[in-house]
Amino acid sequence: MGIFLKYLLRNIAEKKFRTLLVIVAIAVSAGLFFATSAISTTSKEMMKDRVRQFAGNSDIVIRPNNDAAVSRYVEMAPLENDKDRLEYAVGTLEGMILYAPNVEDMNYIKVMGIDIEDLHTYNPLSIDQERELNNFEGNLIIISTYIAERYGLAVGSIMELEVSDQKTDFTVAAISHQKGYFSNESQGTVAIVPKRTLDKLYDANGAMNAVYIKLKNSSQLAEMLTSLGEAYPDSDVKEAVNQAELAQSVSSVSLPFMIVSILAMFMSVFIVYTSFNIIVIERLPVIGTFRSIGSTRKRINSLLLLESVFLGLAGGIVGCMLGIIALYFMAFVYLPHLTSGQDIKLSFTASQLLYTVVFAIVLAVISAVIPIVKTTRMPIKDIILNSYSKAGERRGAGAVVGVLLFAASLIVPRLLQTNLFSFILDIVCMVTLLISLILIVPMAVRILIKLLVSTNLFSNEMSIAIKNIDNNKSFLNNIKLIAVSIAGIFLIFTISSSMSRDIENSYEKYHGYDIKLSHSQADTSFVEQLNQVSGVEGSNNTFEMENVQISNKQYYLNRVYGIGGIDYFNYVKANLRDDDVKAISQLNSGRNVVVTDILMSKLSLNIGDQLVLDFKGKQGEYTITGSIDSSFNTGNMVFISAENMSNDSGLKYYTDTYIQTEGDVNQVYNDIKRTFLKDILVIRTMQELKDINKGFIGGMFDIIIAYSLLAVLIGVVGIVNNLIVSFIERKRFLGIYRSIGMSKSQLKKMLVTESTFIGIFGVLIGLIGAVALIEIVPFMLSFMYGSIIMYYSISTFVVLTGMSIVIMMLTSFIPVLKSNKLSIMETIKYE
Amino acid sequence: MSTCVLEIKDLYKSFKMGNQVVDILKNVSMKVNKGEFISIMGPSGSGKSTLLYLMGGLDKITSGAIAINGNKLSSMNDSTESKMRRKDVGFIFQFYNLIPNLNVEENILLPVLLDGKKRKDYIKKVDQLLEIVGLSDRRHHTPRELSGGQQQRTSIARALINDPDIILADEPIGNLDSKTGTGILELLRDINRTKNKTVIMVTHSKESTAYGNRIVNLKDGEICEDSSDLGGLCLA
Repeated sequence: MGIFLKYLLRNIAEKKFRTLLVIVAIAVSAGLFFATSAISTTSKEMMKDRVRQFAGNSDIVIRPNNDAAVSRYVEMAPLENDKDRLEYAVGTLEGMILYAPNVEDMNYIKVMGIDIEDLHTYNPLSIDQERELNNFEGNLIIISTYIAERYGLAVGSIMELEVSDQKTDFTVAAISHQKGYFSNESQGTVAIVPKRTLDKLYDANGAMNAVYIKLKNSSQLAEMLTSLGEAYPDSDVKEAVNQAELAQSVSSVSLPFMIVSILAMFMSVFIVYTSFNIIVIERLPVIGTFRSIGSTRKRINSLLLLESVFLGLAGGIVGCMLGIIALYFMAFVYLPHLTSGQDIKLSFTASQLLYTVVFAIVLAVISAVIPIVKTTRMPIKDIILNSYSKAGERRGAGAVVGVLLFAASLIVPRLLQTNLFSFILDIVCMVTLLISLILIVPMAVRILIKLLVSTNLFSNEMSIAIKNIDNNKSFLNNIKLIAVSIAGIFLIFTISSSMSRDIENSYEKYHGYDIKLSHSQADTSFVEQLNQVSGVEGSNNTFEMENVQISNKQYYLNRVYGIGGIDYFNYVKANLRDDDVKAISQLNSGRNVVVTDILMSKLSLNIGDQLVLDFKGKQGEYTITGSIDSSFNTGNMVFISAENMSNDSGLKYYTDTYIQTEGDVNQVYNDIKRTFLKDILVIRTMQELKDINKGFIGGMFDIIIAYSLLAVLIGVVGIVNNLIVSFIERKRFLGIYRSIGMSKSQLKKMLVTESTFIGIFGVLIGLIGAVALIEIVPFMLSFMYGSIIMYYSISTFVVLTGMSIVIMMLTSFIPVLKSNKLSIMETIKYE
Repeated sequence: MSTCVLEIKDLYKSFKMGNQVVDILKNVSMKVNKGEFISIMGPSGSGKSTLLYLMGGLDKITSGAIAINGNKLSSMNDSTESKMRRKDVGFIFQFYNLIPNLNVEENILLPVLLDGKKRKDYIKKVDQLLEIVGLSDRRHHTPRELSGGQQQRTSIARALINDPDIILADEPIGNLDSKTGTGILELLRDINRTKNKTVIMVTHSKESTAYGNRIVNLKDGEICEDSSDLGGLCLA
């Protein structure tokens, strides 16, 4: 044991460069693993930030009960009994104020009055510009970068605001990034003012209309909700953010990352396995020698595994460092240019670092185990004489299996329904397809080489270089790596651009209105008045509520629509079949609900099933009478009659009004504003809504694209690693070429040609894989997002192809440099 | 009058081993005439293979000079030296040194392909060489599909494709059984005699020297015996 351990340690010490290559391979894989989980966490945090916009980090929120004819305010006194169990209880005063620099820009702002210390505790700000926040008193206001840009405001600017019919000048004290309280202003703008100032304007005498509570021990949440419910019988005591709702929102962000993660893990395992495999196989003759002189298989195997643990540990630690560097690079160099001010806070935990190191060790051990297991099956004689079967000998069988798996991966998703099982199976098919690509590579490369060489288009050196690719395991590994990377990256780009485009197109596809507004008291007289405004061609009014739970399914809907009838679909379109028209027309003939096809599949619903809709405390039971084909709102919505909605939810006025116009939309927009002035809570043209939504979704996909670029960088390290390993492995053959008259410049030309064609082959096979993956993806995405049409981007194709070939040419620079120092005699005689 | 095809003068070759400089070859001088078949002998570590590699320009000399057909190797740049290896010398190695993914024909053609020549112009020559080395039926086989002797015959054909003046052979039968080895030596002797090629062969085997006409003995990096100096064996 001792002597073999000594040999291993000496071998590591003597072959420092090879050891370094293995550690680098493990480190990049570990770095990728870490970055994946950290970026995924970062994105989830971004989504949580959006969901927690008003709740901050609180656990419970208490608000006045709208139904009760009691106080509009909430007292702090009943909290006294539970004081010891609370980390904080922050009272705020909230209301709507009107900002009207002119009629066109008239806008309601949801304003929160709060003490600055309380704000720091419950929902900390991310400040872009500030003047004086320590003394946040008087007529000061904090706004977001969004309002600042929209109205051309800066710190120190004066805003004339109307509160309770009283106009007051406020000075902009600070401008916040679009984070925390300011993270989402698509449904209405928000601002913060000092509590005492708002108290005075509302004449509230120190009362509050919202209390945010954080518990010392969050496991006591259920108990505290009951206790506080009893202490506040006339108020709504609720969990600040419903965990199920949050989990559902976060899962929609997690999916794209899951796809990227699968790709990243695949690349990681491949990079380490290929590097480690070569190093272990290189040692086989020595292993054979030790075994021939009596060392047991068990001893040698355990020492080799121990070595892999150490290498994994070293790689894991370096990987964590690389991952952190990559994350910081992305967050502070790359993303700020893309997310236009939307703050990104890096989120990773110590456990993620620990998992990364464990991942690296497991990866190294698994990579080492495979060749070790292979050697145990070989006769000692074959190991010593290095006469075991070489790579490529079974490429025919591999290709057949590969083609079969490839075909199966494409066919299976088409045979499945849209549900959770098929969603998982679609992911399995995607991974299988990547594996099939790897199996197909050796045979595909052989065919491509034969085709290329037979054209007689290439010089002699180039032909030799192309032929060299055929039987070199490292070269084939590089082609596999490039193929998998290209397939994955092209897929990511295509999904991102297709989904962004789909969201953009959904406005053309579904939205048949020009303006959408919310009026404070939208009733029949408002409708009559609206229809008389010049340029208004027609309007449709609805009762709508967001994040409604189907309580008997424990599922959150994006939105419930209470509609007047089929006319609604002239404003918000859907592919209505005859049955759908009938079902919609009969919504009011009972307690009927019409769902979407996606929801039917997702929740395994049937016509006649009962759905219990929870309108924030008030429940209503409905029977499914139909299902329409619409992926608007990712299909996560239901329709009931306006009457039922009004009765069940307690909404007295229409919440949303859709308007069709004739002539100039902006002119009509301004005319409506002039007509209704401050009664309009929110008004947006379709173009504005389109831009706001595109911005958020775009930001999310920018992170994924940035991450995929990180995967490219790591892939490049893997490729360089393989090229160097192959150079070391091939030194003897390069020496042979030199010995029979190949000049240094010819050798360099050969090395560059090899790399270039490795890139070309990798791209070609990768693109076939990408197209195949893109065929599977819509089936998988339909579970989460409804039907999405995939758009193939020719420019992405051209850029990725060019980039891969250039990367391969550039990475050949290292072996080219090393070839300068190649000693012919040493390589031929002693290698 | 015999033509000198290779001349070595005051040749030194040293290697650095750790902190020490080790002299592998010391003050070696010799002339090789066209058509000679020289066997270089000596114990392990005497420097015979190093001398052969230096003759072919596969390694750099420390001092002294080597000239092939009157052209000093030290004054050649990489391109000229590579051209010399393609045209003026042909190498035969103990472990054959064939390119595994190329077939017999392609391996033989390598030096002319590297010379930028067209494959089709040399097909006839390959036919002749395959005939000479007895591998006509193995033309499309890869080295893995050949025996050791067949691989060595392929490397001999490769060494001859550009019709060089000098054949440098480093223990060409060191990895072969005696019967196959004899066949290879006979082949080299035939090439030497019928084609008037100069053969310089490093060997351990005394029997092998019988196929040549001059023996050079090396010991501790120095020529201790050269049969041409003794008269009898050197060609006039």
